[in-house]
Amino acid sequence: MALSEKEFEELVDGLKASADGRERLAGLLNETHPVYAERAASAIVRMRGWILLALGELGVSDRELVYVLEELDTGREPYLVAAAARALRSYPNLGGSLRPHLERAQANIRYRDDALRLDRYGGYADTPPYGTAMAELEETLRSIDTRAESVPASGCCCGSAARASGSAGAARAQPATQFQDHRGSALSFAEAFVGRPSIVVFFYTRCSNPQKCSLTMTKFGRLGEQLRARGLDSEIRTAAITYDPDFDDADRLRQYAESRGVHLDENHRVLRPVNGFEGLGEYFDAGVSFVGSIVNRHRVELYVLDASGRVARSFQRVLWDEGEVIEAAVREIAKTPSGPKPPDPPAARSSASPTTALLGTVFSVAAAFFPKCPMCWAAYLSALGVAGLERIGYAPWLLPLFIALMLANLYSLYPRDRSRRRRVAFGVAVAGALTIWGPGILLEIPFAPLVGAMLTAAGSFLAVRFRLTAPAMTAHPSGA
Amino acid sequence: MKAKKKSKAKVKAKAKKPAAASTSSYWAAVSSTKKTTKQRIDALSRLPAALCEDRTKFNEVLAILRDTTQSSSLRRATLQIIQSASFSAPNFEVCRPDYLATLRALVTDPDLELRQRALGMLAREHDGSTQRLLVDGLEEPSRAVVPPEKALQLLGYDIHTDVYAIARKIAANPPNEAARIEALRLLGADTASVPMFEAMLQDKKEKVDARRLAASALQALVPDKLQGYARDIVQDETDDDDVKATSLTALTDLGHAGTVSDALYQSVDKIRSKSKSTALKQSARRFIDKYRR
Amino acid sequence: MNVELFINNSALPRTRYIGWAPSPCSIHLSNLTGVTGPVTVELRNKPPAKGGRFVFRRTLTGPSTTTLRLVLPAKGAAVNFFMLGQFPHASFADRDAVVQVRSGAHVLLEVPLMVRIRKNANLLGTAEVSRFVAAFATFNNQGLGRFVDFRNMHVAASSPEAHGAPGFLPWHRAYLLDLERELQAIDPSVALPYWRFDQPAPKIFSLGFLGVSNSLGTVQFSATNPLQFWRTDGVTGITRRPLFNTTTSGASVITEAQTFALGTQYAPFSAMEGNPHGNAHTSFGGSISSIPTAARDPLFFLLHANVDRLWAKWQRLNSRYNAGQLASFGPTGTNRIGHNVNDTMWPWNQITAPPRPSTAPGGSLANSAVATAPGSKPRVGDLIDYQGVVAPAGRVGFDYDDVRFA
Repeated sequence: MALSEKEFEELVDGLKASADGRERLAGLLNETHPVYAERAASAIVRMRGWILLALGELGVSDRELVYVLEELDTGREPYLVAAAARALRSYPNLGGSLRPHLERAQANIRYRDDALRLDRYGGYADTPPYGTAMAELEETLRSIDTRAESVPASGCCCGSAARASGSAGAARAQPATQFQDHRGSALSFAEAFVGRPSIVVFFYTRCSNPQKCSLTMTKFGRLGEQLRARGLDSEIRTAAITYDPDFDDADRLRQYAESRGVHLDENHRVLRPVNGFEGLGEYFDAGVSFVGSIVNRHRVELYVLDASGRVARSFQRVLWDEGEVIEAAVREIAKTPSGPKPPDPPAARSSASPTTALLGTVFSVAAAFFPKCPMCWAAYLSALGVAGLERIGYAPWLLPLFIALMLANLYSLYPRDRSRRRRVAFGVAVAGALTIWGPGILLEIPFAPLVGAMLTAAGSFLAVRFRLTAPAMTAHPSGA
Repeated sequence: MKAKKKSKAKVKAKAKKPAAASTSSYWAAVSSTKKTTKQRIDALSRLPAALCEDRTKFNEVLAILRDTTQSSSLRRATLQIIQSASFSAPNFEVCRPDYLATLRALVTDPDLELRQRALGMLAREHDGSTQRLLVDGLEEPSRAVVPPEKALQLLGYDIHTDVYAIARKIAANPPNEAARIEALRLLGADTASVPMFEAMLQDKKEKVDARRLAASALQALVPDKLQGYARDIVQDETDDDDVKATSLTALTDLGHAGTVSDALYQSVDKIRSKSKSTALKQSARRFIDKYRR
Repeated sequence: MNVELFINNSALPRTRYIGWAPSPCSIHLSNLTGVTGPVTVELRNKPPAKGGRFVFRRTLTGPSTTTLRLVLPAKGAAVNFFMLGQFPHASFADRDAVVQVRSGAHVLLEVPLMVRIRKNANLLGTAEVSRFVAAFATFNNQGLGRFVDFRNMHVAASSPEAHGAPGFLPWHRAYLLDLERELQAIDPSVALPYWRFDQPAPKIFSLGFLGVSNSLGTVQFSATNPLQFWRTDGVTGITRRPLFNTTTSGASVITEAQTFALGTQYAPFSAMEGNPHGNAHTSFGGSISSIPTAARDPLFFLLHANVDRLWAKWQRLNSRYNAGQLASFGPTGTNRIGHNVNDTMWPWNQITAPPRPSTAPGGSLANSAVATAPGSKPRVGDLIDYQGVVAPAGRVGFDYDDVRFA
């Protein structure tokens, strides 16, 4: 440890006045920063709380927001939660979308609250006056209410911006890590992660924060259930890797996972690195620090790997959504150069299917080019080249039928989940239908039917494409 | 009939009143300097369910705890009663911050018993200020608020402290035997201490308590290895009886039949029939009962 | 000609455990060679009855008798009856009671069984203690075993599920039952004993049982006691410092009589959560005295067994077995979730969506070979009629040595 805590406190205070203070303070929140090595976990709480409070004084921006939300989602230390709640009040886009994080923090901390002096490093209070974490959270919730009344909604996707999910980083050489799984079997990194996409989480059994590792593994178990339900469990591997391989042997890992509902098999494992842990940590840029052999701080982290074992997507710090994670992994299946395509997901929120889209397009085109007279009808049928077809009588009632079917197609394309992409597809199809009906049929503008048919076809096929890559429904049990 | 009903209602109402009157009289008795300590403690003991309902009154009770001029027995009884109320976490929710603040104020109290109990409660909450205080006291004995063995014991409630380096120093050079044992117990969470425990277990000159503690630590950290050591110790006729008994207990309760060789079985059978140590014979009997051939 | 005896609806040895509440049984002729007509048999305790003793009832509510004469149909149809432990004669060891079935002087069948009862831990024999601590140590398995789930069920985050509201007693009853069934999966002869905390208990706090605390509060065990390997939260050992003399006095709690005097209705009686329950916890320094760490100490479970026994005894004194009655549980429907009669209980319901805790360690409640109740996802009300007084199917399969069947 280079710095005493007193020196650290002064460093943070000094950075508040520095031009690049915000950036440097955010840098100090990286778990792998050497300032956390060999510290007690409670010391790290003091340090990070002081940083968050400093950021609150400078004003939290989008970049630092994720660190604040992390404490609200998974923190169980009143000082850190209070600091996060206070810092959040400085966020310029504080709005209703952040309310769930605050409410989650209230649920986490209400029976663990403490007397706090946020003006003091560490926050410990032994005499009044003092505040509490719950009071800070309530104050921030009131701020949200106040701002909602006076400031129109900015439309900022604040929560999603702060999810700290990342896309693929720079390609790194695979680590030479050897693992042992829950059955005691040995496998290399390549054996574990190359060949098909994987979902990887980190945890350890001696974690004392149930909102981190225990919850991560519980969600990991639910994620596995959803994969099985969708028939994706052989297409996508999952692995939970321990930060604490010296202590977490195979039996311990299996016991911990199974008691949280994790189903284990040859594609879904719990792993301990038996060597090469440092290289593994660098590969994932894992957010963990140690005091001796024991983890003193880590973040919630999940990685989606592509079929070559490269990190394609990361979900860090705040609680991840199982459905979103699975969809990220499904996208990697589609990118896999060889190998089976993923099976169709279950019925999507819109009922768009390739068949429906095709039929809809056909009906729209049929409506667009429906002949206006019996002679035209005969000519069309003759042009289709099927002998005798022209003898089928002209049926003007077919036009309203085709229009009705075209409307039915539009109804089927309607995005009930309000997905932006499906709204675009629906819009294109509607534009096509309106072009056919208005300029095409009513105004008989040349090329209008063709343009309309092309737009309808494009909208239908876009809807089908987006449906195939849509997030799955995530069923949550109701509390009863 | 109506008159009878009315009087029944009056009796019922009267029966209700004493309960409400009792609670306020208990509160009054608690704070009263005219009551004896025993009376005040008795009044306190009747309040647990109601303790947090009125924060003003609860803080009056906390004030008794903070007041070093009050009798030790009253203060200790007050602490116990508040602690008892804290078990009902949902009902204690709003009082908890005040309670923790008061406990922090007690960690330097002149009453050692109160000090230790407050430190214990805070340590079990993984309170950072308490951990820092205890580690400071180990590093600089002049700043210690409790003996080193107590500090080590309390720090053992949280394995995520930075006490391991100082614990190793104390284990190697202890101020007293109790401190050494507590340091060793704490190091049982540290995988880096495995070689130290292995050497300790195999050192026949080492104190028996330390060797037994080493066996426990190794059983937790490297169970297969400990089982191996236990088999060797049991078959070593020159080793200590208590260490052998501990080893046999590990083999019996935490071992597997597949690792019990004929030679081991016969050794244990011999112990069962010939040993002069009651404890050793008993543990041998249990072993034979489990792995009977 | 043979006969087959079903105890708790099965002929399997693992179902041969009964308590004070009637266990459903049946008997029928098997191997009908030479059977020409109905056969009269007599069932009795095989003498000498040195261990557990039992009685029979022809019907659930009929009189109890020490022998039972039955006429078995020639074609092998079963005849139903009930067996129940003869209060207060509990077994001391597995299979120390034997049902003997005779036809005349000819013994047709002998089936060993156990009258398995939760006893005062301070009165257990050496072998009983040895079996209990061995099962518990195996269950803990140096911190590796399933005990860690039980430890994680009782923490601050889950406190609202179990404390401070009417569900306190039923939740802990389910918790103990789940643990006991897990212990019985290791050794079926084990029943969870209770620490009678208003009395001295020198045998409990001994080197061979739950240990002797040194002046620091570190608990010492004998070299033969497997609890010397007890480990929780990554640390070996138990920290427990009695604030009273365990050899000569009880903890600083109200007496049993004072506990029952709290009230004959559930609502006032449940104030026992404070005293004696809370006071029993805080009569020590150490893990057992704080909510986040209490379940680290095995004594916790014996403490709560006594809390549960007090409730069971109060139920018998006041006939409080009907969950639908206000007197048996108090108002329901408006309590916090998990504290209404029809609420399922966390963690066994495996619900992790708010307002429940976000994780549910341990899975569903363990099954039993001797009872189907309360089911794997019990409701609060399922733990009230624990002996099956109101509905026989509600019997969950435990009894206390001083609380007879209602």
